[in-house]
Amino acid sequence: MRLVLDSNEYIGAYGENLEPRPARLLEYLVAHPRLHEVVVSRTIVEEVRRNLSEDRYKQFWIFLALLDVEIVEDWEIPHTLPTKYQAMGLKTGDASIASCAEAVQADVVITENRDFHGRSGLPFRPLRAEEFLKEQGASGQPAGG
Amino acid sequence: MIMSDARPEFAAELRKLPLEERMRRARAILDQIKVDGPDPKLRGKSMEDIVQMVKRTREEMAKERLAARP
Repeated sequence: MRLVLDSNEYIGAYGENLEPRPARLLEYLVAHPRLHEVVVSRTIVEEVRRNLSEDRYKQFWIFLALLDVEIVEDWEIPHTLPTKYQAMGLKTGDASIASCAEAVQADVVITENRDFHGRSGLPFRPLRAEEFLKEQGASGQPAGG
Repeated sequence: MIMSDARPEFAAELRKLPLEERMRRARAILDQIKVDGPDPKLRGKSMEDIVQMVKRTREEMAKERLAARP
């Protein structure tokens, strides 16, 4: 499955006392590296950089390389796509994430951003981390195997 | 400048490692996150706070992109 992981999923892994624990999604992906291809846009990488301390951002960046995560540059995304998603009611920034997902033919965008959820007509499925893990049979247990 | 622009050769080296080694190192990072505790920037923030924080950053960046257009 081709996945776009939104920045709130990575940043949440560095939060405190969050339930459900956002890091479980990352643990699942590490435990099942052959099952999914993960893609992020340059915008997502930059959002993580702006919201984490420098040393945590460095960890995140190495983590992306280790998972062989594809980073899509903004200029690779057809410029007509953001306008389409803005017309569907997404804000300008969210439209850029949706455009990236369409451009890379993502099956799922994993995000806690509720502006993506409950929308029809998207060419990808927006899922929260817990919903994705539940679908994968990994909900409620450590993603170790 | 972001790190991936500065050190593409380092990323390429990491990506070339065998899968098992890459996942071992990735697991070590996740373990380290637990040891280090939360990022100081996120102390006291709920997941919803984080979502809202990212949304603000996202819209700021969208404005910056628009302003940078010729």
